[in-house]
Amino acid sequence: MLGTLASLSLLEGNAAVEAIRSSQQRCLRLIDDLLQVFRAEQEGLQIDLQPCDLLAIAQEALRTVEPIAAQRQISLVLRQERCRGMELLADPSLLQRLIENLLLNAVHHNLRGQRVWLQLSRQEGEWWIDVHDGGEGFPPELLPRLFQRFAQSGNGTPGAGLGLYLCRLITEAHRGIITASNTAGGGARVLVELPQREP
Amino acid sequence: MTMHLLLIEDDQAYQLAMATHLRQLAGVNEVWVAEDGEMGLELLGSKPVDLVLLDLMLPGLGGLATCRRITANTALPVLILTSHEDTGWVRQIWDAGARGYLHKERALAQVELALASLMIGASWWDQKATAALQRSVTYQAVAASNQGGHLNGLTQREREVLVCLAAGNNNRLIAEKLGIGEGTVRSHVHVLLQKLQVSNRTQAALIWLTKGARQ
Repeated sequence: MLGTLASLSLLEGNAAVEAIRSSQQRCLRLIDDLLQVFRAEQEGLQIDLQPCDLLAIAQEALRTVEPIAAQRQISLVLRQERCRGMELLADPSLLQRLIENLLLNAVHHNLRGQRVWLQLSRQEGEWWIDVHDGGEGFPPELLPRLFQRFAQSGNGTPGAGLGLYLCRLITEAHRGIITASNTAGGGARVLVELPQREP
Repeated sequence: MTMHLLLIEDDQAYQLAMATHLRQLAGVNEVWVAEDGEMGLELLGSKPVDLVLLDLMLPGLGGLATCRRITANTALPVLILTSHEDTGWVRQIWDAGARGYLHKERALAQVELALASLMIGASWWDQKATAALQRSVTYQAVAASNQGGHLNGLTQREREVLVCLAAGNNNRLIAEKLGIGEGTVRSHVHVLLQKLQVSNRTQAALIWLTKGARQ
């Protein structure tokens, strides 16, 4: 394959570089998930708790996932109750990874042109991160094992079954709870409830 | 022979490499590309496509559902591209109406022959796929007459792991007994749970104890 890519004319240079970059990023993401999971299972997930702003982290995650969503004309919509004061004690890079994985999962399993909502709210001493969509929802038989390692849909949609598993590990390392359900309208919903632990 | 092809592949580098390769083949007039099934189906409505090359793992609708839609509404031959070595997919690809599949790693070398084969109305199932299809036919016949038949889908090694598992051994002990790595045991257990369509070791052990041990 590299030979074929190398033989591409210079005219197509930009497209080729972009294609390789995009594929590489996908591979790197998978490898990174794999390494995180491997390390977490060997020695437990090491979290570095520090005061951080949930909104800023969510916006950063959106910036990472937006180009991937845009390729399939999926729009990501952020909803938050407040613009300031969303502080909590958390590991910022793991929390960003968690939100990115939830968004990516929704992007991969939604049809072209659909919407994915990321909703941040404060509920009874907890922060809620709620990612939902208006798609087909999770296959009901998959729901009980969605957060298990290597859980796959088995219907020819992508995913190694690591992303949501890693989400669970990250949530639990923050002493939170992660749950999945199908909404009344049929879409898929993942809810992460994190204890407030104000800085 | 002139061919108008539609390539549906979400990995951009692979899509570019394959499309470039296809365009260099004699007999290929046009290659349209799509990144998911939704876009592919839309293109099919507007372009005079003769044959579809379809990645099995696609975002959105997914490869299998896309294949089913194409073959339900048209007589177009569909050639699946997959990176799975696991022949468990072969039966599903067959049921979705595809006319064959190519492993991505070997696809560039084989695609010209496969296209020619599909264009004259034949199909493209390699030796491994044919064996898997034959097994699945035998398996269905056995399963119909014997509920424990799905044990036949296990490899020799998976059966050995299952026997140890039914004896209550943990992965470390199974690894020692069979002289293989613990990671290998884990992956065997994972596969055999899937093949037996159960969600935990106890259920797998029960199947063995009630059905397998008598075989």
